[in-house]
Amino acid sequence: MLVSLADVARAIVSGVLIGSVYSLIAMGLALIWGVMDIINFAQGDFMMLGAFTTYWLLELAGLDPLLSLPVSFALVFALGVLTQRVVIERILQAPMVSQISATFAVLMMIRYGAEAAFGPFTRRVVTSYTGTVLRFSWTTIPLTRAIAFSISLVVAALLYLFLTRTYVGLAIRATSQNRMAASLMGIDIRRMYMLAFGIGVGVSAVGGTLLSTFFPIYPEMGGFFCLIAFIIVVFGGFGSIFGAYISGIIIGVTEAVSALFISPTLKDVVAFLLFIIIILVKPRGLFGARM
Amino acid sequence: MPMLEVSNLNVYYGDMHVLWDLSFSIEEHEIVALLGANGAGKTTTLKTISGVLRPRSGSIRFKGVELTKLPPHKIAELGIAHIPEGRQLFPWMTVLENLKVAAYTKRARSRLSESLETVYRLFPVLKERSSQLAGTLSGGEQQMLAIARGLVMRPELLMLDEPSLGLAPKLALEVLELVKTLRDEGYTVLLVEQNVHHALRIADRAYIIETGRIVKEGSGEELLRDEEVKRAYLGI
Repeated sequence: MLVSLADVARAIVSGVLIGSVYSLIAMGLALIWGVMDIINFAQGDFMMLGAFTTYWLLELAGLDPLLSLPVSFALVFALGVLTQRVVIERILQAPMVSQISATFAVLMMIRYGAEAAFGPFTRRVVTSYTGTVLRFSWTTIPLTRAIAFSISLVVAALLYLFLTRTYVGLAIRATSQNRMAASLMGIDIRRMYMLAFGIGVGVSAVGGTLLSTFFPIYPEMGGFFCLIAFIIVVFGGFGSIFGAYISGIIIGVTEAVSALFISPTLKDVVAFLLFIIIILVKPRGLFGARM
Repeated sequence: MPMLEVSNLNVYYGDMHVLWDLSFSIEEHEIVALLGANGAGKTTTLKTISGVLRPRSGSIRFKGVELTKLPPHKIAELGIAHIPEGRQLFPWMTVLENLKVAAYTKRARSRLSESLETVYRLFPVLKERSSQLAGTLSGGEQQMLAIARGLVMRPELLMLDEPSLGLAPKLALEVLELVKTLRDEGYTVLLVEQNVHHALRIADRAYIIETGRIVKEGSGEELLRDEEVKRAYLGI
């Protein structure tokens, strides 16, 4: 099989586009981990809720995915705050096994709750522009993916501005770097936890909304995306939110290029291999810095 | 009425009784030093006042408000700044971001620019390094930043835990001189210090703690002349 330069360029573009959606899910995971030292195994399932919010708002109210995006964020943010209050709050000081079990329990409730409510079927979000493509001399890009990429960039930029330019953002970062000192400066740690968890899963839901515009959705879809997000976060350096964004794109490109050169069925294997190599060579991840 | 009144405080770490019926008070505009050997309970006392630790019994009243049921952030809002042992900076944030976070409370935020002027005047090196990450500062600079953060909080009571620890002798003296200056500018200070001699020289009053109990109190001068204190802490 001959692979032309244009094929590689196309693979890279498509990898960047899908990677930018992975990045959103991973950034949320990194935020939660960085602030609370909790690995949220339900991250992919909050993403799925974002996707289904978009689906139902389109089906029932005719709302365009771009308009349902803020709704999807807000709903899942609220659910995240509730999860923090009801579940996570109680296990913050618990042994790691209990923490894993607790977020895993949240995963089961969301995933199989959704399956019970919506059935196990695969659905598609279809809009007037679903089939539209942007034509370039050497490639075509589906409009939905281009939109997803642009919004992902905007969301990442907003998160960056929030964490570096606002008082609450500074307080969230302070909490992640030194809880005791933060509380002594007058920061309500519990409030920061609620915000971090809410924003962390909310950003993931935005990823779900964007994904749903070009990817079939089903209640169990969160599993793969949580795994990939986890790899991206470890790859980028735990707790580094912007490292997670870049790593998401690297993983997306790795998958797409290996699908081209090796086999589409093995694309994830290559991503996982790359992950293992990075962990062996650079155990703190590519970007060691904290948020 | 004293500004801070600690009475019959009992604190445990699990089953271990570390503070025993501790009582002391601080009047407005004075420097009170809390002195004693390592492990005597000085840091525990500060942590209990600032709400990091909960006492099993006893009371802490700050300007008439009971603190023992309040979380740390509420206590900070009331005007108590605890500058903990070991600096406890936010290492991946810049010097300026560290100072901004310290102005998180309502009382501090509106006066941030004024506070920044003050701390940059006291510690010009912090102004030079304002965009540098706090974790990359030298030990002395980190201690300055820790104190500066306390000032930016605009507290009424400043609690300093070993502010001269790990500093070069000259800088350590400067820090303690600064504490005196702060008192003269109207702050009230509770000082925990390993350098008993210097602490007693600047303190208006001092308490000596041994194994979680207050065993002696008096003015700085009295304790400097006290034979037992001389023998146990001043090596004379």
